[in-house]
Amino acid sequence: MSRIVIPSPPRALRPQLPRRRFLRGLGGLAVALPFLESLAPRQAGAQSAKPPKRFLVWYTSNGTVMRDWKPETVGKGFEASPILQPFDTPTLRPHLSVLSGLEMTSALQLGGNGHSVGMTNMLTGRPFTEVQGTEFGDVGWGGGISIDQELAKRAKVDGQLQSVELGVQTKKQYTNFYANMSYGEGGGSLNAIASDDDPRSAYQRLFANVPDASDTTAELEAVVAQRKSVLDFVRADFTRLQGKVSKDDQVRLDKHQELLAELESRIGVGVVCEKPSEPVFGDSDIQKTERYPDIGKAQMDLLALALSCDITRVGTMQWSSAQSGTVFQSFIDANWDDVADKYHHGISHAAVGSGQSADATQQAALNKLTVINTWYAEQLAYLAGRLAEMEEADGSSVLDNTAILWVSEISEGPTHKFTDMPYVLVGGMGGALKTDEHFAFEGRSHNDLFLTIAHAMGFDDMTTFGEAEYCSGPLTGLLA
Amino acid sequence: MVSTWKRGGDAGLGAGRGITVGPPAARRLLHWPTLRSALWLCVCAGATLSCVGNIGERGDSPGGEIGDVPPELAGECGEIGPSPMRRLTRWEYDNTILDVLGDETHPGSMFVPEAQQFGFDNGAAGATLSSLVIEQFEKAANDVAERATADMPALLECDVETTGEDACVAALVERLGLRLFRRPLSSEELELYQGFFGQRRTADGFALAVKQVVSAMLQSPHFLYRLEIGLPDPAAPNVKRLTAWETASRLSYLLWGSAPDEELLEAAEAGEIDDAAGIAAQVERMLDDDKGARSMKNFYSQWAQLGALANIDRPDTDLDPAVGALLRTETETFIDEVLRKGDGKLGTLLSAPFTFMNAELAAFYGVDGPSGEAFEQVELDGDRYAGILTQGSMMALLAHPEQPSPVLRGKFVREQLLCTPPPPPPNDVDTTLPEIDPAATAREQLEQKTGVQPCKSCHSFINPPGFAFEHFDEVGRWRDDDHGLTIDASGDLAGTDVDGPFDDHIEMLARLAESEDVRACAVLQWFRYAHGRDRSKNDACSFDQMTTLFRESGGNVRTMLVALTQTPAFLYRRTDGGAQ
Repeated sequence: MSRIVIPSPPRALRPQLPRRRFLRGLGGLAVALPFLESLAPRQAGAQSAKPPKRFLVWYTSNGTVMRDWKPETVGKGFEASPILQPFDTPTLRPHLSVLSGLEMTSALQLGGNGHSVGMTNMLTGRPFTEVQGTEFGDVGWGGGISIDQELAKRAKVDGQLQSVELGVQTKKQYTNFYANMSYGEGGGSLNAIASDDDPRSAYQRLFANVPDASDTTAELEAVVAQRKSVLDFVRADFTRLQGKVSKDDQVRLDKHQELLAELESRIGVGVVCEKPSEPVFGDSDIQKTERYPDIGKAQMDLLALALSCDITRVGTMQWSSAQSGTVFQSFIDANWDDVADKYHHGISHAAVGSGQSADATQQAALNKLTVINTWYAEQLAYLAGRLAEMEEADGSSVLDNTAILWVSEISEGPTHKFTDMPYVLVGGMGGALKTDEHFAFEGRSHNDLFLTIAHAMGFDDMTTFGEAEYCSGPLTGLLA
Repeated sequence: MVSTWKRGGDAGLGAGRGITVGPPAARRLLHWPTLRSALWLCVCAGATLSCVGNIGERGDSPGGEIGDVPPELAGECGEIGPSPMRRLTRWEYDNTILDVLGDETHPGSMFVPEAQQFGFDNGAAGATLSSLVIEQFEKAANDVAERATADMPALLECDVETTGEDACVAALVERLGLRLFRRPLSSEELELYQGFFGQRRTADGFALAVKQVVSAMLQSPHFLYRLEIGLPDPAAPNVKRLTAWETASRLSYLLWGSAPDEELLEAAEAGEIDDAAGIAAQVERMLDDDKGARSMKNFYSQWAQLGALANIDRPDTDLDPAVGALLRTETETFIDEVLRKGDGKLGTLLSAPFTFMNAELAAFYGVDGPSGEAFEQVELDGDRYAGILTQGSMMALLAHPEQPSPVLRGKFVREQLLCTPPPPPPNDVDTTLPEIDPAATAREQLEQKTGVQPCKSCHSFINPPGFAFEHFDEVGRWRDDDHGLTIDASGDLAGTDVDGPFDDHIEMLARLAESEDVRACAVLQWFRYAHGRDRSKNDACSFDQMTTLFRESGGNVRTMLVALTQTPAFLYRRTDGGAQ
């Protein structure tokens, strides 16, 4: 049950919250007027504030099926492909952009398993690091900061969570570079950012300090004060170790200490928000394949609310890991008898790449991959739909001010290619990006795509992202 | 030769004490080959990938010196590999709060999983850091502290009324600090905690102040990280002997996955683990203790990847997660009974014609077994069953949902038993399984599919040890035939020290049970597990000590663990980091 409680927002940092959202409440619950009355003074004068821009990364594994993904025509007025059908609604279609032809240039020259190469280059735009050379190819960790983190760092305002990384069963198969896509400054294993696969934990992190009727602001403030006092003491404990350990170990301790400081600086009571109800899952549910959709939905709901409440401005939603072996048979009601291998990755290897002729078995595999990718498109449409329903202070929707970028570690499963990557953008980031169009950017790098998004978000001082040699500037055709 | 080791110096990291080490026992200079360097040479030329399991020469390596502790860090044993700082793994975190605070809630089990390195979760570089990880530590610390302070008299072991709050808290910090930080706290540290308590006492009252003190200790770098400073040694500024407390910590996290108990701490304090005999005595004691089962099971569960049994579900069979849990218990019990309580031999692990079952598991297997819920030893048909690899856990995990996988099984033998992992298939090949063809065995179909390039060069090494297990179906049970067709479990083992043709898995496993390559692989894996890093060229001396004693003991894992704890790599640390 959701409640709206009196906020004490860090003034000027919090965007205006629209009255209508309060009136609607989560799940359509009516909210008592006296609360709204008392909100009024604080909101005075904030009416003209422009809503913040947000960026989300949406990750799914094993690429796509190009024949069922790429629209047949370029430009405006394209017909939605089978996989993109879920966006072909009056609400979402105006927000949809399809970007074809882009390549992960940074990954093209690297050997080794295509999924691990792709995963580490996917958001970093540079070759991997901590390379473990093997006779059969290299593996490594992301070689630098990922675009979501770069933008999060720049977009963050004090008191906010810099970014939130949510996932669904991302560590079920792998716990290493196959399972990580986001990296902090410098990249490498130390700075790999894990997705939180547990909606209960995500709820705690995002909403624990949002007061509701069961606890008063004063009680929450006392708890926060205690947490801060402990964190303060612990940070001093780290400080006293300075110079006593080796250089490599010091790097690790410094990073730990920085994160403690960051935590201490942002915990606080005062986010004006609809407090969602706490997700209910058992410990064993989190890794159960048949709960994949439920966990995903819980995470999407939390993510949408976190954006609309301006708890954070950048987030990621990671479904499974590179080379995903999710068994969709467990929850998608289709006839799976015509594919021998039921694992997503296995099915992708039974298919053929675009342009190749397919026999009956390969056709069946392609059809199943389309079923899988369409299901993912439905999930993204759900998330985008939630954001479209959420109204900002200026009457626009949260989706209007957001860009969600759908990425995968490879273009297509059978070939593992890094050219003609299947990017989809939903949302125009406050009108900074053109939408409702199929753009073909043949041969341009995904570094340039990231630059474009950075510029759209307002960071037009960025001239390169990732490996500079792969950057030739923003995709001007995409900028409004 | 007499070496004198000055102990102490670093505030709070060890009491000052000098120890004297006697002359080394008769030195045995042994030449024993290090792990064969096995190279999989893959040459990609156009569309052709050729793969040759090229087993390198058995190179000469420095001899292992089995001497007193501390070994002389000179000559051949003058170097050790890097000593990266370790963070408690999720599992170690849970064990530690259980042992020290009696907290059974396992909060660590929901932490972000460590990134696996070399197949283990305890690699130094596997401890990734992000805001999520830090918040999980914070929440767990606050929750554990809350539970611990719920029963204040039990936590304090002190009467506040008569002794006073300050004195009780001082005693608590000293006692908890010793257990959680695995060393006595310095007077400076004790004062800091006392000051923190006083400050919070004023603000929040007694109970909440104690809670915050406990939470602060549980978030301290001295708790979360296994900090090692070592003993100052001007002659060797970059390679330092560990303090006795640090040695105790290495022992307990290696053998128990937890903090030292009071007895080990007392031994450290008394200087009893400053020499080889003292350490060996503690290792034996710790392995005999019930907690010794933890690491044995943890190591081999990761080695066998048993964690996947929790999610195993084979449609249309009676193998589900509940049976998966029984299979895991069987294998873990077997590991512990053989390696820790039994003859300790790796060979027995790979060839024993017995296992452990309860009634429900025996029914799953369709064999005669115990009638109750308890797991008991069951003698098996030695023509069918031989050790861990023929257990349902392993055979079911190394299978696809609808058919067994000779490829996964062969890969396991290559990777986990021989430490010669085959490369992954090229990106552009179709790795789909052959359709189930009623006219041919799965083996025949796989041979047909992988018998041509680019598959053949690797699969000629991978498949044979996998085909040996053709008598085990996809849920891990014995089968007489492959859907009515005659099973061929024969093959030709290549690229090992026990090469040659075999009739079936029993013959192959009997050979692998005596293989020096298999033993060398186990040494490498335990080395990685113990040190949280790969072996470096500077570890030759430590590695050879382990290999030698392991070999001389006929492959006794307990003996190898004792040897491990007496090597330079275990007793010293590099302070200049050093690349991994």
